[in-house]
Amino acid sequence: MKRLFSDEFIQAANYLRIVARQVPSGGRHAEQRSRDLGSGLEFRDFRAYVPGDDLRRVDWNIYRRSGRLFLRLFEEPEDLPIYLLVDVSDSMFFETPPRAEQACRLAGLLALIGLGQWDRVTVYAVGAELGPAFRPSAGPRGRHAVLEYLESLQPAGQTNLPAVLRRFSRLPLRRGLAVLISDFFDPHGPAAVTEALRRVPHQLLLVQVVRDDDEDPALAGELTLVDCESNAEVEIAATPAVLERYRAAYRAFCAHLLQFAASRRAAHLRLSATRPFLSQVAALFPDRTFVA
Amino acid sequence: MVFTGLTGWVVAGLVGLCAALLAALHLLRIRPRRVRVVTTWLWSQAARQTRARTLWRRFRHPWTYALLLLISALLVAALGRPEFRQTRAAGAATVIVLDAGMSMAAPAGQASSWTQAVTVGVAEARRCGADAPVALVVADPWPRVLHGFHEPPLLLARRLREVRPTDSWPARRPAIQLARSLLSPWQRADGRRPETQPSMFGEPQPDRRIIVVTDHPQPELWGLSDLVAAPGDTDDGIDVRFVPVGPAADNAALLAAFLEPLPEDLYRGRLRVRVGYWGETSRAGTLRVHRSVEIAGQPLLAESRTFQPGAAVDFVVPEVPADGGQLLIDLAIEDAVAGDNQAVVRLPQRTPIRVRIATETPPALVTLLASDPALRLGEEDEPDVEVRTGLTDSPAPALVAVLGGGPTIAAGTAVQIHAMPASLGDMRFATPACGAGEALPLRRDGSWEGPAGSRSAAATRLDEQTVYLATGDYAVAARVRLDGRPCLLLSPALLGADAAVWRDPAFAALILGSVRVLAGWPDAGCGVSAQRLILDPLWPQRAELTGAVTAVPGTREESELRRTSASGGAVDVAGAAGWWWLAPFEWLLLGALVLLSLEAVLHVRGRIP
Repeated sequence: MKRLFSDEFIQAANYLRIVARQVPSGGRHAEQRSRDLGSGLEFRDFRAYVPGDDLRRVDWNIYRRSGRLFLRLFEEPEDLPIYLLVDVSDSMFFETPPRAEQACRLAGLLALIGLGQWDRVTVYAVGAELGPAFRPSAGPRGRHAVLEYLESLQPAGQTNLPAVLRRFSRLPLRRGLAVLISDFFDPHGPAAVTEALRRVPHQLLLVQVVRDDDEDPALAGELTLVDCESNAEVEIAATPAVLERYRAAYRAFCAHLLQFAASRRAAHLRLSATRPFLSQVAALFPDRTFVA
Repeated sequence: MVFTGLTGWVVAGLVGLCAALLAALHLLRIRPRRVRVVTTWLWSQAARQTRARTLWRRFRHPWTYALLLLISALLVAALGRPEFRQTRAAGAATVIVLDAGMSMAAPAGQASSWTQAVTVGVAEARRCGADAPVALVVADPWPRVLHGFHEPPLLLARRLREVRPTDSWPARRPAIQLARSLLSPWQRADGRRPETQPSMFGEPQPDRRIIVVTDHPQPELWGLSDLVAAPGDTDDGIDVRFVPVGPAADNAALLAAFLEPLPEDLYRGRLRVRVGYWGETSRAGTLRVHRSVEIAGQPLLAESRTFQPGAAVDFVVPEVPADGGQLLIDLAIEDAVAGDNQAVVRLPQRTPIRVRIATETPPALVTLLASDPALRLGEEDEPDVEVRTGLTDSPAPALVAVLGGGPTIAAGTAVQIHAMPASLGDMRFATPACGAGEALPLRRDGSWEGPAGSRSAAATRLDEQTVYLATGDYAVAARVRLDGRPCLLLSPALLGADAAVWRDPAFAALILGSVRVLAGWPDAGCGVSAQRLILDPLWPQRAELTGAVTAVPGTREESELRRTSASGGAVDVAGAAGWWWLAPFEWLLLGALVLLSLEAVLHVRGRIP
């Protein structure tokens, strides 16, 4: 793919944040508030001293008043695992400009934000299978690497989201934020996709990459439609009645995804492949913060 | 409705064949345009709904199929030439008698009675049906069978349209007799004698009938009361029905105009105007003939006559020049139809060759030239040909003209012509130097063939003059253009004291033919009978010239008889059948065309695939 990330884009990532409502324990020190108690700066609670505790943490004021030893407990800010599943199946590269460009831009933005917050970012390129994990390191080197990686992604065959999601669900990963960026045009249908998404143990952000002609295709006459991935053929007569039925099917498809997101309390974003990227993601970051 | 062009079974079979062909085409999977899309899953959802609803249908597009089938059915039905018949006599033999008398040429509205009669005749023939035998008899002074029972029905309409009314009174009684004679031996297909047949409407219909289309539908005029019995009274059982056309009123009409050339003058003739009258009683009328440009002046003819019913009268203008002028003919008579009482006639035109001759032209030559009625001599300012005697190229030779075969007519220094030349090439002139018996052919271009051993020479061109006639080295006549017009130069050898040559028919024909050729008239040679004298202007070619000079019309149309309408314009007399009335098959064709247009519009708008 061509160069996707401009300087403006990279600059914008510095001002955006991803904040998790809940951070799973066991993470490394980062900037997300967690339940774990550690050596953070935020006071959390007291507990009685037991032999072996660090005496530097004893609250001497309480001892002076009560004659008993208590330790001061502080929050341990930890990282949020962010799993970016970028659909790079053939359908994402079919049109011009390809939907994969916007998908990779969003993945890059979220990756830059996460890496800036010292969150653990993992990128999976999905297509027919779940691709290998790409884990960039935090810091400038990692930011550059993830952008390079996203720009280097190539078409990865037919879409098979249910299988990919099932495999992803079985991975022993710390719970975090799973972002699925796809057109969701799976030959198994949206129901199979959402069924597989139910098994994903992470917080979900569903990003549907769309185009204007998805709902209103410019087709007419007797046609043989050929799927760009599977080469499956469907013969139609593009009469106004058939076109209306197609539009109804597309609206039902989108409504199904929305209903699933609402039921799962997952975030949902429709990202247009043709409109400017930064203006669209503003809706995802009210007050420059996305709350996962 | 019955089909007159094809039988009902054939029409039904063709419709069925079209239905089968259309179904086969419809079921064939026409390879549609292939389009790659991002996904076909949604389209399969939309198509699945469609197929679920139309699962019981074999055709993907039944409305399109139905529309095309309807269009095909209309076209096939149109081929069958349907007609709406009120009655149908099974196996009835019909003779249509068409009155072709002069009264039928009378105008009836925009057309004429005859035009209406042809239309009615065609309609009656169609109404009989494709299976019923129909014959056609034309009632003019010589009634005849125009179309027989066993001839193809499709020829009847064409033959009807080729007939024209005559300028005489029809022989009606013989026409009816002829029609009856056609029907007398008629038998049914099963060999039984003709009987009255019950029709689908419950009334007995005759098996044989005569339909008379006329502007005089009175049976007594046709002598019918004693000829045909009422149906059923005798074993003839012939039904006679009259179909009236045109106005049934007293009318006199200009029928035709002829120019008959005068024997003594090709350029003048007698104008004969024929007037026909039909009515109950005799009437008086006056015919006037004016030159169109001199309407207010003295007429060429103003003659009054009494017209008897059914008579044609000829009015003659004794002498009119064939100068291409227009004559206005006006018939003043009180009749019911005034529109056919005026006509404009254009006279044929024939212009003689204007010849200018020099003052020194020998009188004999002048007499020769003047004897040809095709030439007009005089001091013309713009002559077509000029004849001079100034050809001076050589001393006057002692010429002896010898023609191919034949005896010598004259001898001496003058030209001798032995016999009539079939063409200029056949003339041979012999010079004394060659000796008697030897001959040098006369060539128009001046080249010559000498006797054996002689060599030929090219044409002699004298001061840009084209030698027209020459013998040996001597030019007899030459052609030159002076002031843009052809000029015939004659050799002094021809202008000797002996003027007998000029009275020789053969030589006269040669010279006069030369003048005509120079004037651009066809060079058909000037073969003149030896017995004719040049003073006799009746050349054998006169017949051809006569045909070319005069236009003797034999029919109403050829006389260029034009009727002046009230608006001052000329209206074609023959008229035309009403084009605004469509036959049933034409309505079917129109319907098919409308449906085809509808199908095209729906297809373009995407309503049907």
